[in-house]
Amino acid sequence: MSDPILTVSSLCGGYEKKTLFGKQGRPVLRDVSFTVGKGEIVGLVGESGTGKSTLAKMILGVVMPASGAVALAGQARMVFQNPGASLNPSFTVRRILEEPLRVSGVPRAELAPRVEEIAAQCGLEKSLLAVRPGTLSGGQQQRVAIAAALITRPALVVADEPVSALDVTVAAGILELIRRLRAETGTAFLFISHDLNVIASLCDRVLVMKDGALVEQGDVKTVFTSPSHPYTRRLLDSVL
Amino acid sequence: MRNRIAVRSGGRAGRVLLILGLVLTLSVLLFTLIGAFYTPYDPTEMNGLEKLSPPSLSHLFGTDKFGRDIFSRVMKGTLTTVSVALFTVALGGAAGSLLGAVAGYYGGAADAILMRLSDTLTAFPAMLPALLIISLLGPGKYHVVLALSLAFVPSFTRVSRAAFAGERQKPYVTAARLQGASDPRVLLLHMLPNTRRVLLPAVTIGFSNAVLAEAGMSYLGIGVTPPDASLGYMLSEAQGLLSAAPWYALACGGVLLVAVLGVGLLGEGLKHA
Repeated sequence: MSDPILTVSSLCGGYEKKTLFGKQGRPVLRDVSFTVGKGEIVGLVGESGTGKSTLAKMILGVVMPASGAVALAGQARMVFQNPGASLNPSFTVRRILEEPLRVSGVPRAELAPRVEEIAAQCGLEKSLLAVRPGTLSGGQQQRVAIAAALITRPALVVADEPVSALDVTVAAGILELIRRLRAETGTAFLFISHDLNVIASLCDRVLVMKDGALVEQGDVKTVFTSPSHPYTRRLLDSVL
Repeated sequence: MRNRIAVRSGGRAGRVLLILGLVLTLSVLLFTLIGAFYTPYDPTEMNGLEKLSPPSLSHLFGTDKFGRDIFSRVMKGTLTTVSVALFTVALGGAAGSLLGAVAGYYGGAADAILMRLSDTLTAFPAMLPALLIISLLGPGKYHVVLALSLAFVPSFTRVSRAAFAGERQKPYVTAARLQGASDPRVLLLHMLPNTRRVLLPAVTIGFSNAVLAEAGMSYLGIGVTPPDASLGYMLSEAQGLLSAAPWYALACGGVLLVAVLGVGLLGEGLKHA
């Protein structure tokens, strides 16, 4: 593996609620450490409520950790579970794709070619650029969301359950797209999912999370064929 | 999804309201605009020979007790009333929406402080602070605009806060912030267009209310003062002549009705469009 794009070391903390009577809440993450290499697709599995999304938010810098560090070589972007809701309903697809570039100060003359390039790469027809996301199918919407994430050429894309809301065949198309984009652009993906089949078919490595801690991590084949932690075994059993 | 289905089922009725509202509003605006540059007679010119003459071809809405052409006066009066209402809604609406947006978007302390202030203002009838300002500054159209826009701020704040607090929860807002968009950019560029279904009807209702409030204040003699004519001021004149010249009150009231109804329908139509 080449130099890591993302290094997460001893990450602790998470949501804390401030109430009238002082701080309440529980530390969601407990001593989480891992790396993601350039162009690597790393899966993150675990039941809901184990802190997967909190980890994603810390990597993107939306939630501050109580302790530990996140080191990113380059930019990180996010793709959400519900593509319909994560795209601005008032914008056209073209405007949605332009927005990340405009925010990062890319000159106007470069906008159109960059948008058209990424749209073609993500399998979006040029005619779709003029429509608003509400008229697109779920699969097309997720392609737009992925295109919007990739258009600034980030080093890492964090995808939080990006295919969970999609039909199986549509989901397969999106997974194929992610594979292809990784090969073409060298972008690394942190792919959060509760679907072990998806993880097995897509990812190079997998992180297994339980109650805010990583209980196992390693090569997908190794982890899935000979899991060392009882929780991973239970997860695998529940699929079979 | 549910939203879209509801819109579709109400689409036809919404379109009818929208078109009707547009037609009425545009005719009032056209009437106002023409009145700004041309009136058939000088609205202040008196004519002792034609006092209180009923509507005729030479005086479409008749004349008042000084023999002035009511049609010309209504044209000028509508201009005053409509421009007072427009400025009121523009000022009060912009300030209120902005405060509401800040409260709804940031939440927390900003929200608590702004909303308690707004509660305090709402506790008084909207007319009371307006009366206070007029009694301090004196009547006149600019003071009416100032007084009414201040009185309108809390209701716009409330509506806009609810709209922005609702939008804030949506993932596209999180997505925009993750892309590195600044708070003003997120508020104005990303969220504002998506609150139009709530804010635009609030603006049109506000406009109707402002027209009625100006008319009410001028009727009471604390609004627009002569030589400016406004529909409300003219209505108060017309009241004394109700039996002698009923066309005077009918002309002023009729235009007022069309203006308020048109904008009201427009707002209703926009809500469903």
